[in-house]
Amino acid sequence: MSTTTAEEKASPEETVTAILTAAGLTVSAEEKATMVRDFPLVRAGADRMYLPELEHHEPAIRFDPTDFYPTR
Amino acid sequence: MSDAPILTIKDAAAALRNGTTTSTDLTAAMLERTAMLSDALGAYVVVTGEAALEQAAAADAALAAGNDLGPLQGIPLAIKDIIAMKGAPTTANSRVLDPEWGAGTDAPVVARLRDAGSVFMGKATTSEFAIGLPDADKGFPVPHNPWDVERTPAGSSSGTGVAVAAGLALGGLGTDTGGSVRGPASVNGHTGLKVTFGRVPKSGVVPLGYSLDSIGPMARSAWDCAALLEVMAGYDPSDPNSAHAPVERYTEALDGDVEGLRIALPVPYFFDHEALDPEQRDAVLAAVSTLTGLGATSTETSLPHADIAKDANHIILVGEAYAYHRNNLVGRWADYGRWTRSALARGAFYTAADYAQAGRFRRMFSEAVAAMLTEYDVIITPAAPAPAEIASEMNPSKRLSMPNFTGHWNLTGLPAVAVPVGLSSQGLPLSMQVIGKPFAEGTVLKVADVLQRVTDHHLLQPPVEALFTQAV
Repeated sequence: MSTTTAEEKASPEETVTAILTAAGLTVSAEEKATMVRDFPLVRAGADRMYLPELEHHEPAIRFDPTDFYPTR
Repeated sequence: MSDAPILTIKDAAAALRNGTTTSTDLTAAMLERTAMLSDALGAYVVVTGEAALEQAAAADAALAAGNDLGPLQGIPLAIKDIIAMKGAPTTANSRVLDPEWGAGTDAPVVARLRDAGSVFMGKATTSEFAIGLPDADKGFPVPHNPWDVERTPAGSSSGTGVAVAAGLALGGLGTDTGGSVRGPASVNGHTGLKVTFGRVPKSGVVPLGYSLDSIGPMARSAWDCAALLEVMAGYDPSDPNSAHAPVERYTEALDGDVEGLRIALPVPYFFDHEALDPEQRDAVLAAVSTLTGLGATSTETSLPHADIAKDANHIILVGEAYAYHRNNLVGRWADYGRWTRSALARGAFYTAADYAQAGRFRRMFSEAVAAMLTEYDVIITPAAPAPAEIASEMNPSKRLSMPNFTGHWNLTGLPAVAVPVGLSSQGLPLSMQVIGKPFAEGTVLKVADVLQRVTDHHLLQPPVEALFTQAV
């Protein structure tokens, strides 16, 4: 069984290429270069949110199953 | 054509009733001015001049017959072109949107304004799908800042902001998902209110971020925004997020009294960020000083994780936007403007877990803001880090590393008004933001109104005379 270590992490170019392929997006070389350059900043913005103090917080998403039934 | 003072809605409403002017004259003058500034400012995608004059004539006839529908009757307004309006296409400034989208219908908020006797000048320019930057190659007008046409009018409610600032409408509608009402208001030098999430029904609007979007009034003064909101606000079943909260008489909340009002100034990030323009900061602090001189109190404080809130808002925004646009991005990439498609594609770079985590952060941050607003009545920050940027120097990459002072209040769903607080040494508008508790639009507008009773920043007019061309 093969494993992937942190050192073997994909480069921004490899990751962006894989994401664009999976998403089916056909972008120009210039656009892709910008996405590759920005990718570390984009990811850093997401990674910053994984704060330890959020352990006991539920997402602020409200879903009420009764919304879809007529009121009596 | 002279560059006469641009009326506020309040003054125009009085003039319509004391016989100083008529809606027909007012509308005709604005149509002429719009034609003369069309090339230079690009405020409208479509001008519905004939229909506007018909509405104006109807307003004049109704007023003459004693049928007074309130202060918006006969008032020319601009409608952002992602909001459905009868008699005009809704393009979202895009080749991608189905030309039949919203055809022949008024969004509920437009219907309310129509019923109040307003006059619709036309559909105002927007950033494509309310995101990204203008792309001149796509055939839609590129809006320009009337204070300096080389600078951005900000987005995405660019056209409404330009129209209000340059006197091409007395007020109008914008939408705000991360600052799209307040940004244009701040750099174009007028007032703009982002309402509490759910305060105004957003059905009939091309969505951007479903859980963040709101429709807000844009006008010269806080009183004008209050008058617009009185008509716009209220439950509508067509919007699943529409709130049942009662609608205040917002104009009556403007009692001029800030005695004892408690102002929080969250210093870290909002007042000490290295990218914050010192003139913007100083103008905001001077306005706060004016308010404390009138009886308010201000306290420096801090809001935990204010720097991360921008990222959470962005992840939710592009995640929800990407869901809406995904199929068209796959099939019609080249039909989108180059900045729009790149901005939307960021939604593919975040994971489902990131979206959920942004929701968890949203709850924690909202709790922190709510705790602050138990001790204070309003929070005040600069509305933007700096005055209007040079348009040609803007790009979405640059924005990743820039601070943002507006998305926090979409994330928390709170009302926030952008208020002019003077001009920079380069003659560009500076702006303050006042944030309040849920559904406390009356409070934030009152603070803005108090400032506008003792200053004239909101009445300053951009130097557009040199831009006049002969009417077509």
